[in-house]
Amino acid sequence: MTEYFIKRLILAVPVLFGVSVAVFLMMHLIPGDPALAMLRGQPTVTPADIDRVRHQMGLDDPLPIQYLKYIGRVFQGDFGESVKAHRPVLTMIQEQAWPTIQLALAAMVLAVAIGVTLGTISALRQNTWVDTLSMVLALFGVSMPSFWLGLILIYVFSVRLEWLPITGQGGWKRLIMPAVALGLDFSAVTARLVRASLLEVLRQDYILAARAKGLRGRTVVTRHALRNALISVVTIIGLQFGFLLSGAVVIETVFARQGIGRLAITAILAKDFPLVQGIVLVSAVVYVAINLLVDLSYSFLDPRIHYR
Amino acid sequence: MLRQTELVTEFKSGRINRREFAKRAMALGLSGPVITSIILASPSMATAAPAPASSTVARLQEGGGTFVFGAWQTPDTMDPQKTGLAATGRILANVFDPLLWRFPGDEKFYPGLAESWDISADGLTYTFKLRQDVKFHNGEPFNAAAVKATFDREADPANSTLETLPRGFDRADVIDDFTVNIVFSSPYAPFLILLAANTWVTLPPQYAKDNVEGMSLTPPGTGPFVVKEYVAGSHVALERNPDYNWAPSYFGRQGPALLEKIDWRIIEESGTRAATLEAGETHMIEEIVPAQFETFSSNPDLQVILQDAIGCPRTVHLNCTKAPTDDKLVRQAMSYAVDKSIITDVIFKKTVMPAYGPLEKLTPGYNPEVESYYAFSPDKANELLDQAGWVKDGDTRTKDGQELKALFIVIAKDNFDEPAQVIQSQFKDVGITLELTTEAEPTVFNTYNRGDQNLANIFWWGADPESLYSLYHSSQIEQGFNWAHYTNPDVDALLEQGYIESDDAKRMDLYKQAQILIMEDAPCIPVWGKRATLAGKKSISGINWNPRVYPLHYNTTLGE
Repeated sequence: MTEYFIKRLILAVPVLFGVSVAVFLMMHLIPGDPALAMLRGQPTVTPADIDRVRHQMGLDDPLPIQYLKYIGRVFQGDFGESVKAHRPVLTMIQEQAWPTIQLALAAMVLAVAIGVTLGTISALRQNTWVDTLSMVLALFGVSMPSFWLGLILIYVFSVRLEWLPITGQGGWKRLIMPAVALGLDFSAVTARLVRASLLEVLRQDYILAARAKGLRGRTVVTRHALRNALISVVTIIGLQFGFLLSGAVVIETVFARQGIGRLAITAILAKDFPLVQGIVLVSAVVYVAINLLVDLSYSFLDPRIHYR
Repeated sequence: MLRQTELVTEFKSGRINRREFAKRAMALGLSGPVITSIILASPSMATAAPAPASSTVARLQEGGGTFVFGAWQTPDTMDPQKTGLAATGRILANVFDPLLWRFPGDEKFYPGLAESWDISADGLTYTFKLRQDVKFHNGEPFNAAAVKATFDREADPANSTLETLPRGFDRADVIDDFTVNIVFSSPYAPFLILLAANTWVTLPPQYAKDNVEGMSLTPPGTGPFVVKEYVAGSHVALERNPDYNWAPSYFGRQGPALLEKIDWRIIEESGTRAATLEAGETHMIEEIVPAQFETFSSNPDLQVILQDAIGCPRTVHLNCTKAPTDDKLVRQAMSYAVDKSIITDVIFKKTVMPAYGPLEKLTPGYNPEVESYYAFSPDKANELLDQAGWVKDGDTRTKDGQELKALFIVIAKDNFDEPAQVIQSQFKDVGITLELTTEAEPTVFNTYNRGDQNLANIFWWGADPESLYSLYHSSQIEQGFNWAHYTNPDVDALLEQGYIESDDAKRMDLYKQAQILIMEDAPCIPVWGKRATLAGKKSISGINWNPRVYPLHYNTTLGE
């Protein structure tokens, strides 16, 4: 298994390399002079000023040189300096990381809890009104834009009922609405998936055998059936994590929470090249790591899966 | 008569509010209708600061409190010379004092960190005599050396500053500890007005040199508030400066600010910002959308403050080098075809006023004669298009086999989408087919400078009429903001002269002439005037404005 792990680790490198090249090219090939945009507020702007700012931003070198310089520094742990804030990119990301991690974890936990519960109930009561209701709820969950849902939650729970604070981070009260808004559509996907997986598993012979042995229904479901159904859920968690990160951008803005998502938006709008590149690279590393963990977890869930 | 005039001036400059004005005006014998007409003619609906009696001040200073303000944009950096955003400027206006002050609607300069100033006869040397009792928030003394160091810092490219030096700036000379000369190689008449608008604020020399990161997070200034903490994307924490004792006389009192703290929270999403005000999580918010204006106005616990801006209004630039807008008759017809009231009254629900000229109404040197140009008249528009040879052909017009079509590239997310659609339909009424596309900043700037468009949208925040140079001088085509690609040597000459004319009255006259020439050539359609918008708890009062229309909180009180 260590072989497998190392192999996957090595394969991650070209993925990350490809990501960094793609981001680098994308930001530079979009037409538009960031120097002019940055100078817009000043009383008088001369061509000399524009040249000076371009030079400050390192835009004078040809593209390949710019990229090589960048990658060289990355390997030394220097992700560059934000053009706007003049502070190291890595520091800025580190400062904003924890609230996003909190939000993503909370949303994931909520989503899995709701999804697995709904999915299990639906599967066990297949084709009854419970099943239909759960699936309709799941449909709503998937259809509601998280942005809209966030504002509705704010309106109901903060403005009208005054139960929860709206903005900021710290404490469970500030986490609950953003986590719900972010996690709801993931929970819907999970519910449907669990339902489908569980239905398939419940038809297997070994389930019949377990029942025949006299095991209680609950034990059958939790120890035997769910465990096998969860493999697909775990896979989905890994893949959905990417969507969770991008959803965090919207939710963090709506709830004025600190986080990488909001940092990314500000950086993109300001054409702050180094910061955008840093955020994407870090996100890519995290995403690859999570999926690696997911792959490794299979062996715990299903001992039949061996790695060569 | 003299007392009545003084009273009116005080009201117009925002130092007394409507109720106070009406009361005192009645006492002075002004009749009801006269009072009402003066109030209605007042350009802004700002609730101004009544000068508090000293006993009130004592009581209020005990109050203090923390003012929670919901801002719409996060600062990029807190360094005054490196920031490119008005969002940062708004905070820094309370942290850094200018050498001298000026306020919208008031023509006077008020001494600030400089007690007095002199301009040499040739207009090249400004001598400032500085106050001797001022300290920076970190304890460094404010003096002539600090002023010189500020300009030196900007001049040194190694510092990567974004702020540009004043045009024609040569050097700053320390004459003695508290006298500094700013020397120019060519006259720069807007200098004092721009200084008063918080451009080139004095930085603490030692701190700025030793602590580059600190300057971008918690820069020490000399203002009534100190930056205690800045967390990017989250908030800026300001605290009262207990040593502050050099406020301009305009504010009506001396000593530290009334508020104890300001919690400047950054909440980009306007719906969320509004929710925080309604839920009581913030005391005041900025940048409200027209729909929220109605909700807030009808809420008895809240007030809405609209402050007219200075600079160039929301304008459509007509490309003078690309057909069909290269024809002056077509441009004039387009100007006649637009009914601005639909935009201001329906789209913006009367939260803004129509604009008539290339400058905003409160800008020094605004020429009211521009208001007689191009009043909405589809008949005149049709007449001019006929004259230009565009023959009506059903819904459109043709000439030499070509259809009368124009391209409007609208800047994305700039609040111009709906007005553009209104203009499109109004053009259609006179036979002009307007195609609309959008493009985002900053790539659209390149497109505009290339001249791909017939119509562009633009606005400008500025404190001085020299803003016209950036938008209408021929040197600003292709690399600046003259998106109308407009060239008029007479206008060029007037705008250039405007930089060097030392007599203020003569200088304003030059700009007034330029405005008329511009209106005659019609390279632009001014549409609506910008406003700074604030909504907050009704009990809040005492907000003043600087020439960049940044709110000043020296006299602000929560009133709770």
